[in-house]
Amino acid sequence: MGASLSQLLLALALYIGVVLVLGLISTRRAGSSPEEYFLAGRSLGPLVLFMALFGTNNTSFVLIGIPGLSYNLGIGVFGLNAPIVALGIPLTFWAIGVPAHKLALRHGALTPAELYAKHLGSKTVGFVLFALFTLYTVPYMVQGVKSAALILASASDGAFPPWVAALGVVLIALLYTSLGGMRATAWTNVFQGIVFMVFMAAAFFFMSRSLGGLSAAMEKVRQVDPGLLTVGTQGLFAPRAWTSWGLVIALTVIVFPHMLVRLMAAKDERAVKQVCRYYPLALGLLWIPAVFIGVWGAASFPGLESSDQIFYKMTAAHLPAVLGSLGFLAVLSAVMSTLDAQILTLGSMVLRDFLEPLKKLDRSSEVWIGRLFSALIAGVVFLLAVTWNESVFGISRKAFEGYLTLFPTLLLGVRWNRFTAAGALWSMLAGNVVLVLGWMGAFPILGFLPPFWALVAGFGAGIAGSLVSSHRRGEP
Amino acid sequence: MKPKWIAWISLIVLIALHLDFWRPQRAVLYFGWLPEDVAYRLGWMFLAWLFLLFFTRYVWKEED
Repeated sequence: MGASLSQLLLALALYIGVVLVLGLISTRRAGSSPEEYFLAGRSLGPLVLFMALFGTNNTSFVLIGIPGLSYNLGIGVFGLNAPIVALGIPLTFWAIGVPAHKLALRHGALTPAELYAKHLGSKTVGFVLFALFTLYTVPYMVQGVKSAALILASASDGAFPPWVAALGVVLIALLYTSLGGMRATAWTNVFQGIVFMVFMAAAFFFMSRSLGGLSAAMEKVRQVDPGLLTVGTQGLFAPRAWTSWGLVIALTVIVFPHMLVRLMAAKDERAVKQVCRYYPLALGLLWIPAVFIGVWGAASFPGLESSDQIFYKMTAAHLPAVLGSLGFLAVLSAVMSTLDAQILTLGSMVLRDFLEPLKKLDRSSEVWIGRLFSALIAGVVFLLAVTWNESVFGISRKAFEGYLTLFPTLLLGVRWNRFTAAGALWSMLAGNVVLVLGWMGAFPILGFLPPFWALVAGFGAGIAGSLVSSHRRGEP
Repeated sequence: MKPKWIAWISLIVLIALHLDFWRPQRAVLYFGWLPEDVAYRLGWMFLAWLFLLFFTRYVWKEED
């Protein structure tokens, strides 16, 4: 990225130093109880909660995947994603996050699956939710680690092979997460969020200047391919695909267990409300540079074999060396601010949703067992990251579509008193069967994407299953 | 009109404006650099932000 290896190493050392110090500061309180370790004692105030959610939500999908997609499809990528997300995320925080926060407090639940198992009075619901959350979270973790490895290997001109970079990213995230739990990940997310937001703003300014100004940069795009400045009519831009993708991208974020668990760690409802007010503004600030970098890159570097490379190509060509190092750290920050939350959440889920229902565990050993499972999950993610060959956007898309199948259960579970465990199980089964059949092209989909039909099936089966089953609520 | 109704009607209008397949696509740049579609989306996001301010102030009642 225009920076020398020594500059990159210095920037990396500083970054690691800061996140480890934040992890160490959080260590003292982390071991006092499972609630403190996994949910920071349910004490996150508005600003830290916002940065924790925003940092967790925005990963390399935005910094690498979106420039890559914009490189191919143009500025329509902005309208396809950012606006509906800016509205959908706050509304789903209100619709699901707030009641989930209250119910988690009432039931003493530390994970989303545990919350729904206790609220619906069914261990089976907890097991199935745990399995599906894990199934769709692991690929999402893999795309993050792959992105960080790709950018580190490119920035160091191969001095760090991708597998070394992937291993380093996983180990550092695992280390500070294990030290300080949720509190450490929340505070490191504040730092990491500042790094990638500042970088994207600076990159927008410096790149446009290097390209001769905003007008010259866009005029060049218009000369090379005017189609990049309009919204297409095919693929994801076709009306029904656009509608389907809008549902996926707007509704899926609350279903990420690593997002929902952060809302469960909120200090109070007022903190969540404040977060909802900040979200659209921050999303605009992040997405405009991400899309413009991709579009400008299409004019500067046409014909790239892998469009995921465009972020690196543009920062290397158009930013000063110091900012080049920061660009690498921005990707690392975006990846690790999500990865740490995922490691912590999946570790807690294995413990609370899988082991505990089978065998009563000593409360004092829960934190240590959680750390052990976090390490196991990190190991699996590392192995997949160095063996799975698919684009960052491609892997993320599969995960997002899968998560959406759980949306009806999460919504109806906290907002409809008549919803039952049987309804939840039927909803998750129907949604996932329809999604997989849709992916396989097994039925006519009339222009809508498979997740649209999965959502319809999930709501239909959830409502029907609840109406025909007995109504029972309480501890399983 | 009750705030709740204003909010739900506004939400429907926002969704309809997001599904803007009727709008012609032109490679026009506002101020010499802002593509027309991005300008439209940013305007939509501003309206969505106003909607959220209204929603969180008048519809969302805290129970803590």
